Formats: sequence, structure tokens, C-alpha cells
Amino acid sequence: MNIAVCIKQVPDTASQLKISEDNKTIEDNGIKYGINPFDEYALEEALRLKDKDNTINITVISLGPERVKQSLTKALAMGADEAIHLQTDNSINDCMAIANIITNEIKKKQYDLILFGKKSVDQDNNQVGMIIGEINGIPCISNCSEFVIEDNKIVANREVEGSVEVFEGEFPVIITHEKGKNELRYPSLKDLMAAKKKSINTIDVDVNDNNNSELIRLEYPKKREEGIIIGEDKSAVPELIRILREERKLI
Amino acid sequence: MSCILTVIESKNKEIKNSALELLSEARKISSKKNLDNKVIIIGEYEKNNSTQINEFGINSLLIGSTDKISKYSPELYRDSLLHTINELKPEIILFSGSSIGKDLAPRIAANIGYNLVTECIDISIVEDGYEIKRPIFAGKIIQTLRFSKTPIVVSLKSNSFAIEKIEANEISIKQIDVNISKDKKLPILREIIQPQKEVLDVSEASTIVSGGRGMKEPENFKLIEELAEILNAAVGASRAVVDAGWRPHSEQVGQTGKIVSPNLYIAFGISGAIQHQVGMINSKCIVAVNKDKNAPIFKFADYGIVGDLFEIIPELITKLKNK
Repeated sequence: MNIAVCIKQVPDTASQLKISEDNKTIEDNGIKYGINPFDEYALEEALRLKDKDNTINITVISLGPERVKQSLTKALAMGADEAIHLQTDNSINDCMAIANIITNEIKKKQYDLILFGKKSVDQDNNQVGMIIGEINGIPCISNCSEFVIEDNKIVANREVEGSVEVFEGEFPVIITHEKGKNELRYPSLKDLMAAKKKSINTIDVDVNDNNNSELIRLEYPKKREEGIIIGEDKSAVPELIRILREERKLI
Repeated sequence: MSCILTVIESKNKEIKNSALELLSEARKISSKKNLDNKVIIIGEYEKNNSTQINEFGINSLLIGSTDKISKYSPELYRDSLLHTINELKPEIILFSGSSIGKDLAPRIAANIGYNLVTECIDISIVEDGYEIKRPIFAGKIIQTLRFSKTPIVVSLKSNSFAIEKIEANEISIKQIDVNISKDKKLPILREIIQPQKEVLDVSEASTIVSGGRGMKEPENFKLIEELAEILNAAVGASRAVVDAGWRPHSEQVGQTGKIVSPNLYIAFGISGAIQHQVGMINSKCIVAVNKDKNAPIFKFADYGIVGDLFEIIPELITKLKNK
């Protein structure tokens, strides 16, 4: 079985971001990059399948500039077999263009399972997995928190408001992954050193950003004003209830 | 006349509450741009149940409802919608930011070749098109995009638009066919796992009562659950307690959980790390209870109590029960 895991490199979720003077980009210095958390959960699920069945081959694919190689190396150190770097220095935010580039790559091999994180935590678009499913005619089950393989079928739990939908499908299939139930593995230093010696297949890609949108500006959200401390212990409770009930009419 | 098409969802044969935000926004856009205001609902729906749908200036309502589609199926919804879209050629299509909207909107956009812009918090009409604001980096930054070419597909972030009703009007109603056009081996819905007791989801609740590591033990979330029940609220959780296995991920609020904006968010024993903050900072009112007066959450909470939550929650429960 061949599994592709598409990973995106994003600023660490703890990053404090600074908008550049042009009001259109984010300052790059000081940002620590890592694998998008949802993609890392997807990768972990793939690796757990491989833990049980060593014949499974896992390819990680990532689109982006040179620094993306660090994340691919980490994925190799975690246990992926092959890494493909779709290299471009342009920043692309057109999901359709991204989907087309990834489509060109995944067509080169017979993948049974193609995994994505449900969204990237930088642009929060939440689109690419489904678009790739549509343009390739591959069923896509989105927002899954776990999945298993049973009798050569995929059984995936899709998280929706207040319940879980269990879908059963045939291969090939695309899954976009939520945060999983399994803890992520951390590669040892030895694994990292070994991974650095593995080769990353680098392919320069042409980006046709057909998006008809124009970025006008980036801005910070309105800052919340610091509120008030009502009190120091349970004696403050009646006042809190009064405020919420009478002043704010929230309860 | 060009049209706006709004895709709304139903629950228990009635339109979902989240649809009212979409309908309010659709009405504004349609009146400003002089567009025919069309709405499509796919799923179980009985129009007689609903009176309020008349109060959003809708011109026509298309209902795709058969017993075949009591549950969401991406392909069935997609094909039924595509059929209508190809017929109407709307200049803008609105989806909700629900789990259905998130799954369906990209599929539609991919098939018709429109751009999709997700998680919008503001749509303004400019001379040559639309200007749309959306949060990126989980809301640390807001981006403004201009679309001078239509058509576009837009999905709205939940709880971000005001509900505004107008005087009721007559709506022309049309039933549409729901069919899958492509005959393929599609994933099938095997079952739906419901929690033992129906729970409110943090993404839909207007009040959320959340707990963090300060709850000390998973059993202590009984207090949070009890308070949530009194307030008709959803239970939320910080990443720390989800990662520790105390609470399910479906309750996690934050950058790798759900990004919420309820009317009231009450946080117990949550320090307010940046990853949690971005998930709830757009709540209309934030209350924080924490032992540590230097906890970052007090920097952005509207009201705070510094103190022992094991005294404060029971006191809140008693006082609220006694009204």
C-alpha cells in the first residue's frame, strides 16, 4: 500500500506575528517554522499503519521554499520512506493552484491513501483536500479524527457538531485529518541524523496563481480592553451574576 | 437579473440557527447590489415549521428535500447543488462555516471553477466587486481581500454576522430534484455515533463554560458540566486537558481545536496561552476565574475573579439555582 501525506510548513502556533511595513506580508525574522499540526497528526496515523505493516510505503510531499526541507527531514526521521519537495519561492495562497500542483505530483504514483491535515493553521483555508478529491475524482472524507483499514476498506470517523459520522469507503481515498487521538512521536537525535542523509526529491514547480483576488491589507484584530477584577474569592459571585444578568443580559 | 444563492442547512426539519446569519447577510448584499435573493436548502425540511424564513427578503426558496437525504452526503449535496448553480449562474454563493459548509463549499468551487474564500467575517461591496475580511493565523491577523471578478463562493465564519430581520414577505417556493449524477463507488455512511446525552457543540453554543489544568482532575469537570447545564452552555476545554485525555478533542477551544465566538465564555483554571486565546478572543464577553492573579487571561477577560474555582463554581451553581 502506498500512502502520500501532504504536509505544509507553517509558523509555530506559539509565534507572535508582526505585520511588515507594506501591510501585506508578515515579517519573517524570528519565526520558528514547523509542520502544520493537523498534517503532523495525519502523518502520525500513517506511521501507525506502517508500524503494523512494514510493507506500507509512506511518501511525504510538501510545497514551499527551501526551508520546507527541514520539515521533510523531520517527517523522514519520524519514519516516512520518501520525501518530495515541490520547490517554489513564491508564496501561493490560491487553493486551486496548490491543488493543481499537488495533483501533478500524486498522479505519478499509484497512491491508495492520500492524507492531509484538515487545514493549515496559517491561512486557515480548509479547502485543498476536498478540491484535490474533486479534480481527481477521488472520494474525500474530511475532518476525520481517526480511521482504520478493515477488509481492504477504509473506515473513518468524521467529526461533526455534536456527533461522529462513520464513513466506509474503498481505495483510493483522500482523508483530511483533525487532531487525532494518538500522541505524536518525536524522532530521536539518531533518527534525525539518519534522516539528514536520506535524499529529498526536489522538483521545481511553476506556480500559476489564478486567484482573482487581490490582497489589500493585513491588520491586527482590535485589541480587547483589559477588564475588571470583580473580587478575590467566592464573595464576588453575586456581583458577577448581577453583571451578567442585569448589565449584560447574557444569562 | 443576476442572483445571490445562499445555501442553508436544516436540523430536525427546521432551518438551523446559523442560517439566520447567512440570510441576514444575503439580504444586505442582494439589496445593495440589486441581486435576486435566492436560497437553497438541502436536507430534511418542512416549510410549514418555519415562520421566520419569511423575514429576510428572500425572493425564492429552493427546497431539495427527500427522505433520501436525512443525512449529509458530500456527493449527493454536491450534485444537487451543482445542478441548481449551473441553471442560475449566481454571481455570489454563500455557505455557512459549519461542518457541512466546510466540506461542501470547496467541492462546489472546484467543480465550477470559482474562487472560494472561507471563514469570512465581513463582506463589503465596493465599486468593482467585493472586499472580504477573514482571519488568518487563527485570528492573530485579519486579511482583507478584494475580488473584482465575480462569480465567487464565500463561506461565513459562524457567529460573526448580526441577525437582522425585516418585514415578512411572500416567497416563491420550488422543490428541486436531488440526485447523484455520477455513478461511482462512494464512501457510505455506516453509522452516526451520538453521545449518550445530546451535547451542545462549542462551535454552535451561545454560552461556553470551559475548564483547564486548574481543574486538577478529570472528575472535577462534573462541576463544569453542572454549571454548563444550568446555563444551557457547551462544555469547552483547553489543549492541556484534552492532551491529558481528560476531555474529548471535540471540546477543545484554541488553534488546534475550535475557534469560537459565543456571547459568553467562562474560563475556569485556564491561564490563557496564545493558542487558547486565539480560539476564544472573539467571544462577546469573557469571564475568567483563576487562582493566579498574573494569569495572562486576566489581560483580555472582561470580568475576572481571582480565587479558588472549587469554591467559586459551587457558589455559582447554588446562586444560579436559587435565581
